Amino acid sequence: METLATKIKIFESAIRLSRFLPRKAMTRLRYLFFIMMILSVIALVTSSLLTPGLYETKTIGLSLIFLGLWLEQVCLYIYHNSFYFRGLDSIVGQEAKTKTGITYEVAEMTLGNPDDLTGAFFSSKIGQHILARLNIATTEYSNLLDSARHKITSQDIPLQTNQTTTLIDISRHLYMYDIDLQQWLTKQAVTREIFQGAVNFVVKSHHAYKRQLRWWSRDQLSHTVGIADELAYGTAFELEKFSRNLYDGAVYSDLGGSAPHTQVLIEKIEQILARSKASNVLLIGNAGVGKMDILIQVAKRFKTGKGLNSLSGQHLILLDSEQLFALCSEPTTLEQELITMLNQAAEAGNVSVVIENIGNFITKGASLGVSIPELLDTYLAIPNLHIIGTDSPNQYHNVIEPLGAFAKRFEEILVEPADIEHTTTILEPIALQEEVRHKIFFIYEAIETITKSADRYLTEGAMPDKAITLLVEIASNADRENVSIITPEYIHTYISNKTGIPVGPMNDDERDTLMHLEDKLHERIVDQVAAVSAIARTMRRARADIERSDKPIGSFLFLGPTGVGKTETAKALAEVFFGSEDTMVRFDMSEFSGEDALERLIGGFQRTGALSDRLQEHPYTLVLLDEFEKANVAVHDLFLQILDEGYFTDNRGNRVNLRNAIIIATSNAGSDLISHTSNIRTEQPLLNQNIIDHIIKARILKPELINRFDSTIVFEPLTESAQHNITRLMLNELTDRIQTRGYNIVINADVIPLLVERGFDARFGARPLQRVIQNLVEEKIAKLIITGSLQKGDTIDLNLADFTSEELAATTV
Amino acid sequence: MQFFSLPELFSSLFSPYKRIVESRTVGFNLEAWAGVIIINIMSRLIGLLVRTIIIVVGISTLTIFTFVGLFSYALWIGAPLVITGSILSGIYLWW
Repeated sequence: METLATKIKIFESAIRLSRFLPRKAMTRLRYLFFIMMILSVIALVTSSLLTPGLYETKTIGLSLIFLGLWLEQVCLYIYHNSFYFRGLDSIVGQEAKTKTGITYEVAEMTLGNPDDLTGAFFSSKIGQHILARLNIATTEYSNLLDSARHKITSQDIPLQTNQTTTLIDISRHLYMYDIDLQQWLTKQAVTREIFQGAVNFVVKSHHAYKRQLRWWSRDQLSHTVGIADELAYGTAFELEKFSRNLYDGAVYSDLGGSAPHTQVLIEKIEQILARSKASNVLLIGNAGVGKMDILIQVAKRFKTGKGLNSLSGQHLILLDSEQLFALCSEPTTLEQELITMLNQAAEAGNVSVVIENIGNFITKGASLGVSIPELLDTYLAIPNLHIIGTDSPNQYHNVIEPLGAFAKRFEEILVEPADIEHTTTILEPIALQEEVRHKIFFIYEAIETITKSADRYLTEGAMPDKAITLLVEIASNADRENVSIITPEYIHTYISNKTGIPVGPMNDDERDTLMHLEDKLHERIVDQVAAVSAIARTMRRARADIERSDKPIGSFLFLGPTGVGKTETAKALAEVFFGSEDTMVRFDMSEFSGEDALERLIGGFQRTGALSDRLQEHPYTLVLLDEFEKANVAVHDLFLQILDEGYFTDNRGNRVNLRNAIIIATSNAGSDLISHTSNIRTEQPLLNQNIIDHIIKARILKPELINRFDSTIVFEPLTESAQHNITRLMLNELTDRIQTRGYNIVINADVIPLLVERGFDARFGARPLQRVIQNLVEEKIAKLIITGSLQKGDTIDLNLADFTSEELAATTV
Repeated sequence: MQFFSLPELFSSLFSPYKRIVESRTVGFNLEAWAGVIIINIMSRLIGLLVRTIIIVVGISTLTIFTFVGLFSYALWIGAPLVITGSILSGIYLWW
């Protein structure tokens, strides 16, 4: 088998040449000799005109010397190019003449130190760039090189027979077989994915730069358009007034065109357009998934002759419907204009008309009294005119699908949002552009963080568009704040500021809150030690980012009798985790028990849904589902999906994200059993299981639904001491509230037993307590204020003896 | 070849210029019929003329470039001789 060592030999002379005379110097010398040659020729002409026979021989000599030197430099440059650009075609994905061998960079790197490829790799120019992208300091890398380790040599790397070996392949091999390198990278907090991603990023952008340099390559020359292509086809003059060529509009856009899944879509579009019948396409996808980018790629392929032969010379013309409607507000004018432009386009023979948001186009036409589908129908059947429509799934379902026959004229293509890995590769070239524009530098992991953050924390829009927007925003923000290196931490801070949700490494305050979450929750929740600790454990896992990110932050099923603190716990959690209990949204699920329950939650044909509306406005929220067991079965099924995948699709076809939400469902189911067994609870998990079994057996909730919750937490009936503590807490809250009004009240402990006696109930737990405190204590204070016995700034002690028998009797209601 | 679109031009040599054609009207009307024929013949003639001009220019350019290519190839083969010859004769003349 051939190894790297055998292949580098042919590059040796070229690399030695570039060490002696770098390419930049070569170019400068070439230009210099060329200019000198031209100047000599000018001198020759001038001297023969002004002083004939005097200096001609000398100037001819000078011209010949510089001609020779220039030619020598040209030859040298061509010679070096033949090595420098070797293997580049395989990167573009085109057919290369030779599919084996190595690239120039691999040879250059290996010749640097053939006996230690890891060292050679990181010492090379590209290796240094990769280290910078990984945010690793040079001193750290020197430590690796100086350490005693097993070295991989050029003889250890076998070459593939059917592909060109690039630095990407070498880095993969080094990572796999150099254990010391692996350990060193792990120590630098660089995972395999990040290392490989950074290598791909740097190497691919270097190849892109080289491809630009090679202007004579087939790839570059194919961008030139034939001057007489147009002669074979007609011109759609009328259409030109209301449209623009998709290719001219965005020549430099290359978003996502090279990704494998978009390649499949591009090919599919071409195949449909090449058909002799039904050659119309409808691209369906949410805004931001890159429908137009795909069409631009198709237009580019037609323009550069890479598309199917039968489609060469085709133009993708984007109809400017806004302008059309603005200028043709009368139905007859609009109809005439459309018919003329489509007739001309059909006669021209090389036009594909692109109608963006075709559903809107139809609706707008209808509002003017023009039936666009009827008008387009004739043209949709013509083989030499293609109509390409784009729309969102929602508009498709609402407007186009009901049209039946019209919808069937199109071949539908669904454009899915880009996945994380693909989005990062789309972001890479944009990051490079932003780097130049704002004079900043992206650490590779930061680009990956942008993709992940956009996916997880930005609910509006679709990938890759929202990730691109975020990257551009971050770049200009960094420029404004004079930040030159964009690290993952910078991204986390930006996202936290933008969304209000804590992301990235924790700060000290947050770490403290999470580590003492039990104590924080217990400031508001009395007892319920097991419940609070289960919640705290789940929340810590979520924040440490070791939970699955495709689920809600946390999901809990709270079981227990009424008035034992289930809702209060949810409020406390909302306050601790999201900063305010107002971030909690509460649904009384007994209201969602009817047949229309699902429609009311996620929206139906004519109305929007309560849950989807709330989550689209406030994605970082705590959703409390009270009396969950009373909801309709369809609602339970919806939550089966939500708890597992973290999203649902609303009536408009939009994905509603719950991955930044905490879901708490409460239920009184089994509360009798909980109350009866509370005295004998010695082994909590076993008894909890008994309660869950009871709920399943009684068919109150499906077992698979219960299992989807992160944790099922049983709330105990309140003990007497807990009842005292709750009363104390509520009285403290009351005195605090009154203090803000300027009155100081001290409520004596002797009131508490009375309040406990009247405020607690076996059926309703602590629920009546609030009313009892209102009727007795608040009423008393109100009287004191109104009668003037209590003035602002006064301090008053309230004892049981201060209450009259009538006042005490009022609380027994 | 691609720049001058020669294959397309040859295959559509006699087609109407930019596909500009008049279509026949319903019913027989000698004047209209003659008008359509004349316009269509004119369109084809103009098309033929324009295409022929581009084809001639294209073929001439291709021929020139073929010779330039051959010359460059010869220069590349004889580069050592040409370069040393040029420099040495230059020095000789300068001296």
